[in-house]
Amino acid sequence: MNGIQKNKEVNNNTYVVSTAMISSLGFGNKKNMDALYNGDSGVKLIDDHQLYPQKFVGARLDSKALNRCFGNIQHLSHLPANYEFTRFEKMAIITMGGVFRNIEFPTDEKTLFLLSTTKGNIDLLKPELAKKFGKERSMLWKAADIIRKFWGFENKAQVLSNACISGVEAIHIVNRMIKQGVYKHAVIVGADMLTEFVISGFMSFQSLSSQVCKPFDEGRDGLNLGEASACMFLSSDENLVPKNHDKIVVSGGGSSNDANHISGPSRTGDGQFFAISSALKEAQLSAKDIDYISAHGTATSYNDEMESKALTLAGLHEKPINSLKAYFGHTLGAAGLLESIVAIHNLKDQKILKSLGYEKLGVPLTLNIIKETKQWPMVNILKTASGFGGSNAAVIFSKLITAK
Amino acid sequence: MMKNILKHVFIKDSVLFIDGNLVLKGENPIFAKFLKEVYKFAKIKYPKYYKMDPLSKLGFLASEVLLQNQELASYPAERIGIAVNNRASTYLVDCKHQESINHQDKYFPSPANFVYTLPNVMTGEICIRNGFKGENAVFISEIFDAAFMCNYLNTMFAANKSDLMISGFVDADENHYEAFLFLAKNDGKFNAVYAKEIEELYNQLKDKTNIEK
Repeated sequence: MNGIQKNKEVNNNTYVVSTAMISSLGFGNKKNMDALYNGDSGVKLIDDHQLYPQKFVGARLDSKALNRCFGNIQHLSHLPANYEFTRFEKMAIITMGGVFRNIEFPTDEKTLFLLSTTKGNIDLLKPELAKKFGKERSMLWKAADIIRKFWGFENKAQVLSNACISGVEAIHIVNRMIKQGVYKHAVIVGADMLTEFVISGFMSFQSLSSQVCKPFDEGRDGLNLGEASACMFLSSDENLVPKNHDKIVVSGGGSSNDANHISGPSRTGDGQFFAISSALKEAQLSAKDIDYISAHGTATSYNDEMESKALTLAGLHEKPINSLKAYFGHTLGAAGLLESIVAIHNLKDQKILKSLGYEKLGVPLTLNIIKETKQWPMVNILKTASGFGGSNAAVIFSKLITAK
Repeated sequence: MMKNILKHVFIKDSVLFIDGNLVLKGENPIFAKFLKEVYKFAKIKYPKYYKMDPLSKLGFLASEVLLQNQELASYPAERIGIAVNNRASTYLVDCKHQESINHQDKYFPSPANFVYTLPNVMTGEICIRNGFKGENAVFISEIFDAAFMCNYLNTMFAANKSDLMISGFVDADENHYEAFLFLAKNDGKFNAVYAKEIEELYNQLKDKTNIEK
């Protein structure tokens, strides 16, 4: 295993200082990681006419817990006490609160605040909510601005909305900006809700599975939608990383387009391969240095097929690979951050997670899909994502080996 | 003009500027009708255009005009990317999808419509048309954020991740549409794309448009 050496002269690393997540598996990193190591799934049969006219299988956040958690941190708000927040805004804010409780992130002009989402406050287009909140509130920049104001960030909020790769691409782009000194710190929050808007859209595509999804398996028949929020605090300041914690850095990233079809991935996997190659190059690593891969693995026929080709092209097919979609569902704009945070925990714990739902290989090229959660030595890990619009992204996290 | 900006295009309120020169003034103030005029003006033949949503149509047409007469063959596909700012995301097509699910007795969500409810499908359409395989990114902002976009481009170029980027602002809303696209080249010397100059250029083009109205 080839590690990233800390460079004593120029410290241009991007450190993962702190993270937090909320999902259908629970609120907070510990609850989520315990559930994952235990093999629990947050994907359930949902029968709620308020959400969707028919029964469907998906992963939902506990709304009562959401409101309770929000009540606990509302006093931190820079907005007036009676300000009414939407469900989406609360999801993002309480996740950021999870980071803030561990370590107070800065909000000054050297700090970027970036929201990663596909649809934000999209439920506000429903006639009854549209009347109450108005059109402007449904805009992504507006939701980001409200979250910004809650925490008091000085810089204008930025939003990256690039379909399902938003979270991975956000980490990759922010890493580049921090390394080049545009910002010293960044707080990235990814969030998306399970809404009738999105469920009905995916239903019309006939891409939802009626069971817990089975990424890379021969019996896979579609994806599950989920909702989650995940937050990552990145900084160039090594001293912010809590003492006696492992130092994890973003060592490289890449992003590309398939230029093939707006709703179907490349048949060759070349787009995803370009993103992975670009990430390896930036990290100054080669395929053999990667110890673990958290793939996109939506469990749709075409996506998983494409990934088998891309990972093979990149020479990564024998590395331990999983998809977390059967645990969380596909959480869209949150997925890249949520799944990266889980992978970082795996890296710290030196433990790889089984790819839930997988039994027998069902993709054209052989991949080493993880069948059992177990201890595994790791230094460098890869997170990939792909999505509508032909988009692909990859990011590499490394456990820093301090030069002796 | 800044030497690493190869060309720029501006579409708003039924006028089309190429490199600051007025080349088309539409007869019709209606967005969809003006887009048809641009399609004819640019002599485009691309059947996939007709199934696009308004935001993709606007971004696509602006990119077509931008890329005409540009020599791109020497650039590897994976080193040409697109990163744009946008305000309303896909509001128009979002409303259309929402209307299709508002009434349980008239429930007809359409996949052809739903796929366009992501703003990066617009950049994806441009990549499909031209075979570009570089980075795509759509940043949402209340107004065109030249400072942030230039930071993005400069760090992209300095990291040597791209040779050529299409960038700018593309937005389509109920009473507003606007496309400002420029072609930025990584000249290897990491010449900064100066945010202030880009912002001035953008404001000049808006002023020119107001005069034409």
